[in-house]
Amino acid sequence: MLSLLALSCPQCSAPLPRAARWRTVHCGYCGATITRGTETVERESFRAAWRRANAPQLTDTGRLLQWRGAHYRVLAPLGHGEHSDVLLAERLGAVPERVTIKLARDAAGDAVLAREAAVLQALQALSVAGAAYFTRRLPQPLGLGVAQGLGDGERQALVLRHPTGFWGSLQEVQQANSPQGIDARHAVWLWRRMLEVLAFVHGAGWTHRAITPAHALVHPRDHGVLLIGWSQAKPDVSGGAIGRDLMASARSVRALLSDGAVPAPLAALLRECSDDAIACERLGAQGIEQALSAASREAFGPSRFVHFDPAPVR
Amino acid sequence: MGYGNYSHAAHAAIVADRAAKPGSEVFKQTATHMLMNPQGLKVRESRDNADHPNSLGIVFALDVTGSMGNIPQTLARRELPTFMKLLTDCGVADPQLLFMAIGDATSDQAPLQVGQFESTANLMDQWLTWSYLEGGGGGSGEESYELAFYVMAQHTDMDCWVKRKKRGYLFVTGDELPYPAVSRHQVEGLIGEKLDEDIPIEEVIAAAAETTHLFFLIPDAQRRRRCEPRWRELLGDHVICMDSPDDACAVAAGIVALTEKAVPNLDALAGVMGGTGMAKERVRGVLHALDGYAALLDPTAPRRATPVAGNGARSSWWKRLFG
Repeated sequence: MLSLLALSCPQCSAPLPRAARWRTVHCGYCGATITRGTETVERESFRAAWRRANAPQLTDTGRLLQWRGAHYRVLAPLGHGEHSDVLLAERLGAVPERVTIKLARDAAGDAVLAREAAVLQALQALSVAGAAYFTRRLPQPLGLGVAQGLGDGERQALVLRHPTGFWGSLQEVQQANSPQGIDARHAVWLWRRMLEVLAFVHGAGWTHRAITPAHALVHPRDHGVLLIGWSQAKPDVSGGAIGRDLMASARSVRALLSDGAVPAPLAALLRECSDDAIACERLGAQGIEQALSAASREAFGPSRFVHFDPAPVR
Repeated sequence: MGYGNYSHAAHAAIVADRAAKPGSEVFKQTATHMLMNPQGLKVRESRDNADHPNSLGIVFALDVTGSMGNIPQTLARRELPTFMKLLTDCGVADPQLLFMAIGDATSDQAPLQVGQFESTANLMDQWLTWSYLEGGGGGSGEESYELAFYVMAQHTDMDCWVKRKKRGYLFVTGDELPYPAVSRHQVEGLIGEKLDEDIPIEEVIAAAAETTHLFFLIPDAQRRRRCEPRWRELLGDHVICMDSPDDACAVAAGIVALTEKAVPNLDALAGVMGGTGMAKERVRGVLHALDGYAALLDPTAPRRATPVAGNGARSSWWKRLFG
């Protein structure tokens, strides 16, 4: 049966607007403030929870950054580059997120950060085969924008997802294991991980153009490698750029090894790839990876997981 | 709710019985079960009792739309006992599980179903399999996940929080975006209570997070790209992208064990998982999914990320990060 409901002011019985059903209104006749009954769930309690979650704590004074409307608590300074300061920070809010923040120091730094951001965003937007998997193995930008805080005004900031579990670069691995070099079995998976990513990137029409030991971070537990330093990357594979990328990857791995301790098949492949960019271009990343697998099987038998300690105590 | 003891053997037997049955014989509902209908929902309680003096409320809000319906099936056929056994082996005391089923409130008949907190194998299994796997889902790229956070914030009461200020857990599985706000019209229609305004999802998440650890589990890398950035804005490092949807239970158990400090780190968790007979590849996949979250819990992680001054061999690799 149809029931009718009249909305009237409890003080003067004047009619109330329809909005009185769901929000606070003022009676147009007596001016009384009319609030909802207790059965109504008020948004204000949720909004208050949001304000509590996003409020900076007293202990955060002086170590807070604001970026895109959110507050970030600086956890550690990570370094100083040519154009930027690099920080590890955690976003305040209901749930934390750790990020790497690069703060430009000057106008030149602004341009470098903008270039990096554009390259990384383009790589993350790739939709070619394998993109779902390989974009996780590339740096993931959260965005570029102006950050305020730390007492030095506004600075351009590139914010990236913080890559966890990475020990350091191949350069650090090389220095920590000098002069005897690393076990050649580890060189196999390190090179393979680089080649897998390069095969994907080259297949999508991009080249890195700055592969060095310092631009490959090592994840010992996952046997993973994260290629960084993408600011010079281009969507252009002409002019032998692929061959140079691959040759540089071979040289980066070769630098980790002591020549005498490398099995002959692997040594031959490394020598060829690190000296001959044309051969690299002809083979491609996948061709080198297949040759590497064959050389590895010949030298070490079927592949298996071997724990990697990047800086063993000797 | 939440009385009775959990028996892994009993649970494994229930699950083993249905291994060869078709999906429609495990999940028999053809509409919302009357006891999971949220109409008139007041409070779902996770309470301490003689059997479970340290109850810990854990909620699974399972996306049961077409693309995600395989996770409830996997739980019912194989993985739920694994979840409980991992928790037990890690030393997490007195978990009480509640299942919710989430669909799309703009297009589905059963967009929100809510069970009860339970501690015994039979009852956990009962609420899980009473869920109606409607399958639907809209074509808008969104599902009504925000309703799960709303129910958590507004309609649960857990002794772990009330008595011990220890937050419970909400694991939402999904592969789509949430709607931007909890619609007061939808809440009125589904639950029968009035909201004065729509509640933006950021606010409902903040409210739920005050009493509950919130996680969004994305089933695999293929399905992460469309939804992960938005979920990361909302839930930060509590968005967990798995290698396989089959890992949902092991990942959730690992999160609880690490957060409750029942295991000290990922290596110890790997030991427990290995002890239950999980294959090495699968253990590695679970650890990979949990890597970021474990770093968040590790108080020494920021210190380890800091370059070691004055040591040439360990000069900062951060200097060269991305540039």
